[in-house]
Amino acid sequence: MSKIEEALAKIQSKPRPGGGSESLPRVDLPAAMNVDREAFVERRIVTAVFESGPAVEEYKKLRTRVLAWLRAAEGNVVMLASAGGKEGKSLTAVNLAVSVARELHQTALLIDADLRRPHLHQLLDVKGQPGLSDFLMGKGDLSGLFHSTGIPKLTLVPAGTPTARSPELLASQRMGDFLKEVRRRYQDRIVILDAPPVLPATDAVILANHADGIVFVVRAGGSAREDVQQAVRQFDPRKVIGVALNGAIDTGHYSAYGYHYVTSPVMAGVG
Amino acid sequence: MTTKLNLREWATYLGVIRRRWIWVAAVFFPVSAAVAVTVFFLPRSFEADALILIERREPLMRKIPGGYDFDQYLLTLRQMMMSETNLRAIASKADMDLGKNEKALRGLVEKLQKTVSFRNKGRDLFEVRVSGDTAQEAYVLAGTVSSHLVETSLAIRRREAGVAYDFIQHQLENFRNKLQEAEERLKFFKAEHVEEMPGTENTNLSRLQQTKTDLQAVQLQVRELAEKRTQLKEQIETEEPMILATTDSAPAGIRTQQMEAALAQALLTYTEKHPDVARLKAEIAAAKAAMAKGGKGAPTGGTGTTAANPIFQQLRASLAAVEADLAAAQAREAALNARIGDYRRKTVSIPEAEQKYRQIVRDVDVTAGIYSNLLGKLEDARIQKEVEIKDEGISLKIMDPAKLPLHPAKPNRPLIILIGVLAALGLGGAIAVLRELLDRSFRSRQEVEEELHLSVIGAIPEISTPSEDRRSAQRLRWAVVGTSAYLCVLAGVAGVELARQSGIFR
Repeated sequence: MSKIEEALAKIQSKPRPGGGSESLPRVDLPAAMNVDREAFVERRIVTAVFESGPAVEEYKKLRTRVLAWLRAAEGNVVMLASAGGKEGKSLTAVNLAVSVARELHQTALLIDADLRRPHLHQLLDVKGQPGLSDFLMGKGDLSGLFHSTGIPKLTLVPAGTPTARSPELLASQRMGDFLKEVRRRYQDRIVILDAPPVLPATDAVILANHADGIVFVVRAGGSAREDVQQAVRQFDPRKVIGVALNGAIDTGHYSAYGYHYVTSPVMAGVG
Repeated sequence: MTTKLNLREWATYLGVIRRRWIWVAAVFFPVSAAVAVTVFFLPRSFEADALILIERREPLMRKIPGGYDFDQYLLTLRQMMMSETNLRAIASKADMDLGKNEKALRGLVEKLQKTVSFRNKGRDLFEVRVSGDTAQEAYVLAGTVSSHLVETSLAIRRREAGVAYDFIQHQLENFRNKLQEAEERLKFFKAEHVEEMPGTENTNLSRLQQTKTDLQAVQLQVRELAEKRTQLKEQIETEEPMILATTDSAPAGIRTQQMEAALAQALLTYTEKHPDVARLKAEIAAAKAAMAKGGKGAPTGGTGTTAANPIFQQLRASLAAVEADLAAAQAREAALNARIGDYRRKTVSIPEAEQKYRQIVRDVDVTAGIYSNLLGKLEDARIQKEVEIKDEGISLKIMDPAKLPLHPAKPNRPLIILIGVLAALGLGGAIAVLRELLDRSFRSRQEVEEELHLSVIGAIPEISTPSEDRRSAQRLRWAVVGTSAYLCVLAGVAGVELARQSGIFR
């Protein structure tokens, strides 16, 4: 049995109050009960708190399109990429992951693949280490890689210790093996890769080789059009699912997110 | 539809300003504050004015056709006062520093030209307004200018009236000469083209027709005379010039009869005094006398002497007469032909002559009109001159003398502050819109799909957190309070200045 298999088996053995697919790794969900729902709202993880609302509905649409694509492609790994930073890619990845996790028969594994500037663990208020970079560098085993997020059926693999050697690590055999293992063992689980920005580094292009579909995140009023076009050209067009447009002004819901939204039963009673 | 579009455009612009309000604020506050501060460092200017009445002596003024033009008179007064001579006099009277040299003095004159203004206040009133760096300067200058105006206007008016009269008189003399010349030209033209004047076409045509008829008659006569001449010449050729005169062969009685026949023939052509007629008469008389004396011994011929053939002689005489008549008829024919040519030429040249005639008549009419007009104006000028000389025309009277200005006229600080605030707001908005136009990022789903050729599978609106909402609301409150306070300060400053100007604060 490989180390990855051992780690996954260890996770699966842990109790998981949130329920979910029996084939999924077990995560330490009781910690989620301590999570303040206000904290999710503060972190803009609206899909974890609200049942509906403009943003929630848009994330649901995004989820539907992604799942349909992956079914058609017979894959389960989707990567979120953006031309530059500050496009809202990580937030989109988290909300997409939560939205996927809320599907009845789906679980979600969110992997923070931005090894230079890890961010997802802060967003989900999870320990950042050990993480992917540590694992890829041979520090630590797979069992410590999967972290409970407090959201049922959603597991996070944080980026780990920040490193400038991310291209080498992501292109390594160990990374390939890791994703193969995840893909093989948990076929009903959707793996969401939060890639670093495309233009500053080649990490995202390397990661794209492991993804079955790519969602390109664009912030309205963010990167210049030429940069976005250049970034999109880096990928195989057959893999690009579409664009998630953040901060869109033509959705008619440009105003502040309000509490009048229907609270999600997922988080009801939490906090 | 247009209104809807306009509203949509406005909504778009407002949306841009809302998104980029930071640029609006970043421009608005510094610019408006800079204007509000700068306005207090602008140089102040004071204005003093005097109200002057133009008095008219109605009885004599009524003699002047058209009366007088107030605006024109005001313009003349202004030009007069703005002359360098008058301004130097005013500067001297006002005890102004005339400078050390001509250049400084000229500079002072130019400054005065800019600071003195005249304004029509209606009903024969006008205002002399003078601006100065200090209230005292404006006050003294306004008083000096108004009093100088009253003093000098009369003399200038008299001089102007005299100049006008002399000028018109000189012009009148010129046009009188021109009119005479034009009339002389007309007279000469009429004399020269009497048969080519307008209206003579029919006369010329009837004369031409008559002359043609005469010509035909003369030509007929010429042909008859020519034929007659030919016949005579043929007869002459058959006759012998000399014949043998014998008593035997030609008894005296027969010869006498022949001579009488020749005489009768000659009398058809010639008068009694013609030499041939006289000669024939003498010969007949001599023959008859001889027959009577000789009764018996009268020559009866047969002696064999030669004598002139009377028939030949008679034919020669007739030929000469016919040739003379023919020459006369031919001369008449030539004269008639020449006259016909003349009539034709005149008929053709009538339009040209008529055009020249009209030009000359027009010149005469125009010159006469101007001359007549000048005569009227000369009379007006004479009356005006008389009025001014008798000081019964227009005179100036200071109705409201200049007062010491209590507050500066410029700069109008409240207005400048208001304009500065509006301009700063507009500039901020313009910069926000410009930033939006220069922004190369995506803004909408449509833009993304059109340019990337990818579907937008999720258009997530901006998500703000409760703490952000609180901070945002707090920022908004502070912004409203701060902006209100700022605007209150500006309004307060402007209000205080306005109150000062209105005399509420001294």
